[in-house]
Parts: sequence; structure tokens; C-alpha cells
Amino acid sequence: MEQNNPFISSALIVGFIIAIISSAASLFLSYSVIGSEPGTSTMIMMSAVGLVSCLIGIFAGMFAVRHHVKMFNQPLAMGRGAVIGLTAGAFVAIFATAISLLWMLIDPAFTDKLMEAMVRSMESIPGAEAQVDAIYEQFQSAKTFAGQAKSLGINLLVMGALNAITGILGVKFFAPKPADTDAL
Amino acid sequence: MQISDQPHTPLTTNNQPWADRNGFPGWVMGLGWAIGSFALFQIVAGILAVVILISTGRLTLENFNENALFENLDVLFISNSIGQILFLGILTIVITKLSARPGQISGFLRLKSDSATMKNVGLAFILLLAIQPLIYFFSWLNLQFPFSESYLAFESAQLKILENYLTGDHVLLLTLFHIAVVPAFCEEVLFRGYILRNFERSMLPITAIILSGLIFGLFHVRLTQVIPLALLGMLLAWMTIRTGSLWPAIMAHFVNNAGSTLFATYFPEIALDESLKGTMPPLYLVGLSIIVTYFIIQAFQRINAQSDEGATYVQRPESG
Repeated sequence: MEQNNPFISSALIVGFIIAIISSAASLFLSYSVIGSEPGTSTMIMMSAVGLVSCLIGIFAGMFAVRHHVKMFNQPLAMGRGAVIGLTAGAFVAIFATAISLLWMLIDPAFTDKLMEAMVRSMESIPGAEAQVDAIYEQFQSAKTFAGQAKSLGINLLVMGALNAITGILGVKFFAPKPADTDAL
Repeated sequence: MQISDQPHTPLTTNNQPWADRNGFPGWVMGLGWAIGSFALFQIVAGILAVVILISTGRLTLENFNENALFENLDVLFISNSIGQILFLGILTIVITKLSARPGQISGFLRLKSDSATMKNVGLAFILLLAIQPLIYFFSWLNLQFPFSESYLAFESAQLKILENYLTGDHVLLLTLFHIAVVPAFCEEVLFRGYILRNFERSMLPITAIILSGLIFGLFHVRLTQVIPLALLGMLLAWMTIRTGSLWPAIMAHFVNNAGSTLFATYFPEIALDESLKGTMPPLYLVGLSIIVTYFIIQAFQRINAQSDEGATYVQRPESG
């Protein structure tokens, strides 16, 4: 029989772990960008930063459902999986933002170094000078409270929605069918 | 508790909506489709506009620039309307099948009328005219927030292009169709039809009204107008719950958008140039607007007290 067991701890634990992995991957790639020679490859690597952290982040919903199923071994409705996934995704967004703010304290020059690396790379590409101002503006905005709040809001929406979908997939993959638990 | 237009029909697994059978809470369905429809609308309308521009030779891959859309407002309007009709209108009605019991889509979206509907629609018309100074006041309040110069310049440039379009040789009826008719119907079906109704299944009506209004404000992606739009959304949501019908909200939305278009067409120097300068409207006008709005809201209460259709939908949140 399906029961609405508490899921916050599953979402919290998985959200936290995934946020750490995602932030670590993002920082690793960002420092690779800072240390590399200016050029097109650096720009490709920079665009991979967001992609990789997003790809890691979307698995939170699925693993939160798996954790929940391991804890209670009960059948789970798809909608419940979506709620668990959405919550886990929200935690990923919150923790990832907290980690990025914390990193600003650990390495205060990080943002400026990354911006300079990106500007150098952009300047080395013919015809892309117009993008330099956009990069400056983007990084200046990221330093402000409004910029961080906007970034958190977008992350909450994107991570929440994507993890709701992977949460539903988690139910399909990991949750026992009603007959399975009846047999236990 | 289930929402039903036939409250005495017992619910069985067979006639339960798909969302209920699979344990999807109303707020997940509402929020999910708010995000989904926004993403689909933005992506498809954007792609469609670029395709139209390229196929008509107004844009080539060599001279591609991101401002091309704002320089071709007719194309922007057409692609925007197609996107709204497809995703905010038609697909929302299709998606409603997941949350409504079989054969009760129009009841779920409150697309129905009764003897009081015409009176409610008339009141909605007057209310939206009377509340304009108050909306303008909240627009002014919104502008007091510190926006970056670059963002204000961006919005200002967009308004300038809109002004050029409205003062040019545009066909007014077509413009009204794109700016007033399509959004009034499609956005109401989405926000006050689908999202509000789903939110009501999971939370108290007042919370559903506030949240659906906030989403309505943010959906328009215009930071200088978030407060008035969100408050307008809340008012329309209250009106929909109170009257039990979507038609008054559709009329109110139409009056608001059509009024703005007509005002900007005939008085562009006042309507568009002043909109970003942040001049506070005369307080006596705001006061008068509050008083008239209060009396119209009382009239809504009186008209709908008899059938009290709105109260039928005041529900307790789902347990669990």
C-alpha cells in the first residue's frame, strides 16, 4: 500500500551531496579555464562548466527517490516522486549557491581571475570584441545581491523542474510495485 | 477533497483524474505547467519569429542580430500570438485532461456562464477602468526599486520601438487582436483557469490567489512592472473564485490590454514616454480609484452572494 512517508531527509541528504559534487566539478573546470591559454578551447571549456554542473544536478531527484525507497521500501506514486525530486532539486540550487558564496570567501580573487581569463579568450577570437562588455556586465551583476538572488531564483526553477522529471523516472526505476511489497 | 461540478457523483478509480490517480498534488501540476508552458512558449515563439524573418528575407544568417525581433514588431506579434494560442491556450486545455474528471474540462477551467455572468463581466469592465490610477501608482512604486542603467535603457529602447510601431501605419484591429484578444483569453485559461484551480486543490484559496498572482507577474519578464502585474493577477484570481467563472477575468484582462493599446496609439507621448520616468500619479486620483474599486468589489460580493458559486470552490487543502 502507498503511504506518504516523510521525504525531506532524503531530499536534503541527496541534495547536499549532489550540490557538493556539482560545485566541485564546476570549480575544477573553472580553475582549468583560469590556468589555460586564451583561445576558443577555453571558451568551450567555460560553456562546459554550466552544462556539467547541470547534468550532475539533475540526478538529485532520481537518487533522492532511491534513498527514500531504500528507507521505507514502499510503493511510490509518480506524483510523490515528482515532489521528492522537486524538493531535492531546490536543495541542490540552495546548497550550490551557498557553496559558491562560501568560495568567494575562500578565494576572493576567483571571480576576477575567471572573468579575466574569459575576457582574454574572447579578445583572442576575431569579431567577438562586442561580447567582452557583456562578460564584464555579467560578472559585475553576479557580485551583487540582486544578481545572486536572480541566479538562485533561476536555479531553483530549472533544478526543481528537471529534478521533478528525474524523480518520476526514479519511481519507475527504483520503487517497488505494489505486488512486490505485498509478497514481503 | 476533489473539485467537481457534480459533487454528488461518487469518485471511483476509473473517473478519477490522471493526476489524482498518480499522486500528483495540485501545486505540482500548476507550477509544473507554468514553467513548462513558459519554456515552450519562449522557445517556439522565438524559433518561429526567426524562421519568419529569414523566410521573408528580413534577416540573413550573415547579418543576424538579437535586436532583429524588436525591429520587426509585426513578426514578433504574430509569433507571440501563435505561441500563446498553441501553448498557453490549446495545450493548457489539453493538459487540463490530466487534472479534470472526464468530460469536465470546461467546468474545471470555469469556462461556463450563468445568469450572473453578464453582470459580472460588466462589473469587471468598469473595475478595470476604475483601477487604472491604482495600477499606475504601483507601477511608479515598482520603479522606485534600483534597476541598473543598462536594464532601464534596454526597456526604454523596447518602448521606443513600440511607440514607433503604434504611431506608424499599423492596423489597429490587428494590433488589438495580438495585444488584447489573444492574451486575454490564453493567459486567463492558463493562470486563472488551470494554475489557480490546481493551486486551490493543494492550498487555501487566499494562498492560491497570492501565488498565482506572483507567477503571473514574473511570467511577463518585465522587472519594472512585476508589482502591478502581480497585484492585477491576484485581483483577477479573486474575481474568478468569487464569480465561479473565468469570463469576468477575460473581460478585465482584455480591457486592461486594449485600454493600454488605445491610449498608447492616440496619446503615445504621454503613455510611452512617461512610463519609465516614474512620475507619481496625483494622490486624489489614486484615492478616488481605491474608493470606486472598493464599491465595485462590494457589488461583486452582492451579485454573487445569491448563488455563491465562488464559495463552492473554497476547499480545504488536500491532506498529506
